[in-house]
Amino acid sequence: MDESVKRAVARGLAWCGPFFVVTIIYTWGILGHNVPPPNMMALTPQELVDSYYAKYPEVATGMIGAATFGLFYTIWSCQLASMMRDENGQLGALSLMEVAGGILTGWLFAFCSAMWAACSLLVHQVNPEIIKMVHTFTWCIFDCTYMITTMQMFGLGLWTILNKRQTIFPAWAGWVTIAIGVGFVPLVIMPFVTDGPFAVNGLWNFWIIFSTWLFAFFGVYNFYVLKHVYRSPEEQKRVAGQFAAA
Amino acid sequence: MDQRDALKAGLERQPGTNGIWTFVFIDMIVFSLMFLVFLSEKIRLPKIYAAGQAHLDFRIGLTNTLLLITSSLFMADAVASTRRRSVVAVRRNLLACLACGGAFCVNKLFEYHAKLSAGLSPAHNSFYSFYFFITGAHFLHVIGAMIFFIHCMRQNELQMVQPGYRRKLENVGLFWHFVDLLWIFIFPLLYLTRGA
Amino acid sequence: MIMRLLDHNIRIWGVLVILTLASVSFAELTNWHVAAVVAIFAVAVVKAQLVAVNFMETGHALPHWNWLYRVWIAAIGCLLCGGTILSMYR
Repeated sequence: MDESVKRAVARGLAWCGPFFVVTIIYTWGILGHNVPPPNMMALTPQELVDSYYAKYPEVATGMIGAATFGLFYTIWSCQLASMMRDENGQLGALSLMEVAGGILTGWLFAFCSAMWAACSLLVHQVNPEIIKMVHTFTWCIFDCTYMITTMQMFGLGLWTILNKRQTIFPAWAGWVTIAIGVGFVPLVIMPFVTDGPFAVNGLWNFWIIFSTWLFAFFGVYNFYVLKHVYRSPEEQKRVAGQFAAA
Repeated sequence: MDQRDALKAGLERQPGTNGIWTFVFIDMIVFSLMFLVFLSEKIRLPKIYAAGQAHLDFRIGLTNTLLLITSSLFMADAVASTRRRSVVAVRRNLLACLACGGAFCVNKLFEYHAKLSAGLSPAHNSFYSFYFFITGAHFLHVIGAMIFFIHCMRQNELQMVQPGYRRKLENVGLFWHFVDLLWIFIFPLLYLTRGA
Repeated sequence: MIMRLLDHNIRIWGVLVILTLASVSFAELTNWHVAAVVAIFAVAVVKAQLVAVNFMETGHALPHWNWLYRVWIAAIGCLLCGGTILSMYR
């Protein structure tokens, strides 16, 4: 692949980040009526169906859309990982943690959205108990496997902080990323509470976690990734802290 | 050039590296969010919070406060000792910090055990979710700092007189004083305003 | 000079202990709820500022850190005090 093609590919992949943000907010958030999601632990099966799936038939469309656009997170994570190289240009363990987390997070968006789409499509054909079971099962998978994204953020954050030669990402962004990754831990409480900040739609477990993840982590790193892919190749090597070619 | 020289001089004079000051500040923001959400819940459910706080023993909180304040003294002395290259004093003060931290941990674990044995788990109600969340996050910071104490104590005498060691200990010190700072606010928030 | 510094640290420690015991007495011995809450958190802010200035040495840090840390302490004190008082009237 010649240099100009490589640069074009990198830029295209980098733009998958903002594309993911816009599409997921629209499909998963707005069409999917997940801002905030229904508090299924506090609802009976019939209440869940009446207040959410039966009330908003567009949830099916939104979730199928989210199942597609969710994987753009993975594409962006791959581009990010390709930038996280050591001084000798190799991908280290932290880069692999980042990409592994990015792959699994994207998969979660796709898989869970598809499950919720199925609930929406079958709401008039299947018992409310089954709908609630699948809905809750999916939210437990979506929320309680937070370590997937925490792992990604730790890999990225630690690489940002510990790689003193690189100036692609500022150190404060690395610290913020690690802090946000740790902030996911209260998601373990989600299945056990029916109200309050740690419920599925709670102030901490929904509003704070999702907004910090999307804007303070993803938004910030998107900015620096885009800035980087528009640099010249020489400048890219310099800010990445890689040795200049002989 | 003058601005860069001034920044360089400022960084030289600053205890610890810029990274630790950044990290601690971000940690401050995270705990601010925790406090904010705690208070929003307390305002929403005042009776549940009053009942929960009434179950807390302020003497445990007071003991922990005094332990952390005392350990902060030892840490400040450890940093002062490293600046005058007194290796024996550094080790002694770090050991004292470790002892205070260990006593705090034991106290905390007893308190958690008492609560859990009484069926008061993080899922019991909103207050206990926060009680375990806030004190648990703080507890993890204490454990993390103790690991750093052990790491600093394990350096040999030659390493301990290097300028890099002084910086490292200042970093650890700043983090430990932040742990103390957090508890200075957590103690009254959870243990002292019980009647409120 | 180091002995004077150590003495200084011990003095700060002594003040912190006294302030801690004072705040406990406000909480345990008074029925002036709002006044007690204000006093308790005012003491917490004073203690935190003492730790920040004397132990963390924020005065020797870069100016923006000094400012941010001291402002955070004041802001958190106000937040906790205000929030606690608000919860008393719900």
